Amino acid sequence: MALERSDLTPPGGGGEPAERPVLVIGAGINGLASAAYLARAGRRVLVLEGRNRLGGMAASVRLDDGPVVSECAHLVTALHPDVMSELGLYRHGLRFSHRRLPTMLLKPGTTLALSEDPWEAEAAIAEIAPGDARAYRRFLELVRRFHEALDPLIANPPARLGGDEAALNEAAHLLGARIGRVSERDFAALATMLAAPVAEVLDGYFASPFLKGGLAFDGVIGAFAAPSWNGTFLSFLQRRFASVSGRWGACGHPAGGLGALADAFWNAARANGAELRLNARVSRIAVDGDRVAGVVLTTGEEIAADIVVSTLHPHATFLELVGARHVDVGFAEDLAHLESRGSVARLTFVIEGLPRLGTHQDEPAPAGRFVIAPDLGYLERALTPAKFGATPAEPAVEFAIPSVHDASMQHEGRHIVTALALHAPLRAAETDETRAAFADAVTQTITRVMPDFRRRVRRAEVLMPRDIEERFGARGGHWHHIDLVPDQAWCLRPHARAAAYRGPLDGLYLAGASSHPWGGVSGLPGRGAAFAILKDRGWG
Amino acid sequence: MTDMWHAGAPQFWRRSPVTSVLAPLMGQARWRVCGGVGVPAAFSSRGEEEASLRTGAAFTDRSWLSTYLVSGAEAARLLDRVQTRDVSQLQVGHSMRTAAVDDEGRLIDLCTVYRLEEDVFQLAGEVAIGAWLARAAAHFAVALEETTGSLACLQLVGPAIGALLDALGAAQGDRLAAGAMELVEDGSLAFHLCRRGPGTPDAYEMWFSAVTAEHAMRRLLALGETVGLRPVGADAFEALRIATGQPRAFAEFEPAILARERAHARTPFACGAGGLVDLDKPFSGRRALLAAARAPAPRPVRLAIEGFAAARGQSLRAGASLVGVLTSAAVSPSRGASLALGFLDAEPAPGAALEAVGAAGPMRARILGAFEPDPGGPKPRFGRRHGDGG
Repeated sequence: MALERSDLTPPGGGGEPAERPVLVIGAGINGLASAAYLARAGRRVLVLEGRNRLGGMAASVRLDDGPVVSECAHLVTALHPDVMSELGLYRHGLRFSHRRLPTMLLKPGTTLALSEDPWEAEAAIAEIAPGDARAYRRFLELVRRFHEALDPLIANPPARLGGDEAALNEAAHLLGARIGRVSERDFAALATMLAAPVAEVLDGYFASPFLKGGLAFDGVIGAFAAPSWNGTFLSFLQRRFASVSGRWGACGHPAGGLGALADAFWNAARANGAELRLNARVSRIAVDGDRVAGVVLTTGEEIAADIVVSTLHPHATFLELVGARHVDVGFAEDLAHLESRGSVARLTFVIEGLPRLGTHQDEPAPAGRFVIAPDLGYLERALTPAKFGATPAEPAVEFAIPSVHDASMQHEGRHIVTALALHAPLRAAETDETRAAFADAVTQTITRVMPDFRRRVRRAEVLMPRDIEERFGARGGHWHHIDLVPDQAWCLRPHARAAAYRGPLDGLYLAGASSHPWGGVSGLPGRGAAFAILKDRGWG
Repeated sequence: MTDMWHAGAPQFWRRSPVTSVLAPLMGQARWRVCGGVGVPAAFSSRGEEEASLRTGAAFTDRSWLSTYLVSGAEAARLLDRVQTRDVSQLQVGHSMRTAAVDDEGRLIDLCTVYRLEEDVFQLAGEVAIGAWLARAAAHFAVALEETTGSLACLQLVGPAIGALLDALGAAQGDRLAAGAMELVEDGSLAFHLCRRGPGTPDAYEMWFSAVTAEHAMRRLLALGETVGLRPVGADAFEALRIATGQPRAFAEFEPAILARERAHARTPFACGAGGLVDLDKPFSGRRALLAAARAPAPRPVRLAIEGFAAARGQSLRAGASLVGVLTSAAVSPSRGASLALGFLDAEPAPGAALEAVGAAGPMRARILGAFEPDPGGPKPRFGRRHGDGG
């Protein structure tokens, strides 16, 4: 039956006509951020979440009768300080079990702790690669200056390309205006490096293969890419622009897992009157001409709205929920061509006691973010099997043991290890056997640097990209929905005609990880979409 | 009798399903290539062919048109999405002229949509839009089949055609309304008859299978002898198109999917086809056309130009000012002049003589009126507001 705008009823039914709520599809970090900003501005907001819990990919889940652990995302690296302060996340219950986890690069026989403190890191590097110690400080300084230059660009809405020369000029002007103060020399370096392979940039600074491999890991995690691929330095910057402690370069872990962060966002939204419905999966976004008219749930319930914020992939938003017949042919085609190829598997291990690092057999593993990527070639080789649908025998791995610093995750002497492993291919289907085989490869990889790891493992759970897609609705199991590369950044993210949080339908906004600036538990796309709504409606 | 195909047509041109019957009827080997298909430029003199079109019964081969069969539960929905008129309102057994535009509202082609059954449509046009249509159909439950080359199409024109249709066994024949269709089955001959118009009176299309095309062609020629049916070539038909003010691809506009430069493509409003755009219903490119509808557009004009030297691309001049350009031109022996279509970017100053500027010098031009494509049925009356449509 045709759905007319007048057929739709706001929640609550009859009586006095109430302000139609802004509907937010998805209670992930970005959806909750949008809700919090809109509610803070006095708007009526209703968040619709298809699953039975908050957080999307940043949720926490109880392991059978065991502890509550992060379900997918496991560390906070990209949460923007503006979001934290504007929403008062600490006031709304956010607590970190650790805010400054050092990155520890591991290979058999060698551990390199890259502390947040550059002096400590320099000293550590000097022990294994004396020639790279000073270079590391110079490199960090360059990245810091890039961060300062780019942060205004990251934290503010991008330009919109309108298809004509005037819009292009305006975008160029805005780009110039938004980039912070930067020297002529740095500008040249920035312009060169933004589209460069991370391997090429690192080769220009360092000699140590071990240091380069560990640093390059941040350029390829989350993307179907090798360090020699163009654009991976931009991904590296995104990862290194972490600032959870208020200091550049930090990464942290919320007490209770990532779900605790989602709870803080939700508390910020709820404090201003936002409403939430779990198990409310949207099957269709209703359209009236060129405007959204509301949503229809899988139960058949219709909810009227003038504004809908979708945190889903633009393909799902426009082609599945809205329907191709409501958008232009070329636009639909452009969206269909957005590639979403997840390449990260998420693993959770329950282990008996704490493992020892191979280099420090006398003491249990410390708190940290551990990275196993011994050199650039290792990362290149890890991608090759994935190109052909196979998993690597020696995956690159990032892992943490949050139960070291988060006592709530210890359970009867058992600890939790959360890991991300590259590169897991997006396959048509996964079986228990394929998952177990990859878990074994990851276990073996970690055991090479923690010799007692395998014998401590009591349980392993694996989410391959296909599993991530099915469980969280992330197209292709891709964490950022689409790769973060220069031609899918800023006013081109996710696409020129769906950039700046707006698409071709009035009232429909995009706030997912594929919107500016990126995903990765930053809250910025949700904030940007909320600001776009407030600006468009004159509510700001 | 010489087969003029072998006498004059490049062998890499495709042949129409009726070429083998028509080629021997040609007085001389003059061919035109349309849609990659070689079609006769003329069978006899232009004057004779023009007279047949105006006062007798004539036909021309239009089998080179690109045709597509769209079927399935969402066929109407798809076509409604990619066409500027409300195809969903088209009744079974009727057709309409409409337009396809890209996301920026630039014309891809002027098409004719035929509703053969509730969920079966035929789409015909001058531009090969199959790849574009397939991409547009990616998210619809439809089956898309390109039927170009597997169908033959004849266009019949002239006041005596009605008698021929009676002889062919058409139940309605010349009583068909503009845009209406009739399936005619007469023994071994079966074809769809569709009346065009209303801008071009006494014009019909015959669509039949390429498999039976030769047989149908011969039977048509045999029956046509009683009414003096004559084949006419592409040149005479082009003159008729210009005389009746029908814009076409590659003349009045460059198809947006083929245009080498953006400026070469035009919106329907900028090439006289605004009458085929229903801005009150959703379709791909509508938002761009809403903006374009408010923008100033060149004025489409039909012109008579002295002499026989008018040609596409010539400038229109009023006094010392260039005011427009010719996009199509053809000789009209009966008028003793050329007929042309063109656009005026600026209005001639009062009293300034309008001239077309050719290689041999200026030629006096006279505006006959505006032009717009035939809607292929009753004149559309837009203004309804469409809902979501489910």
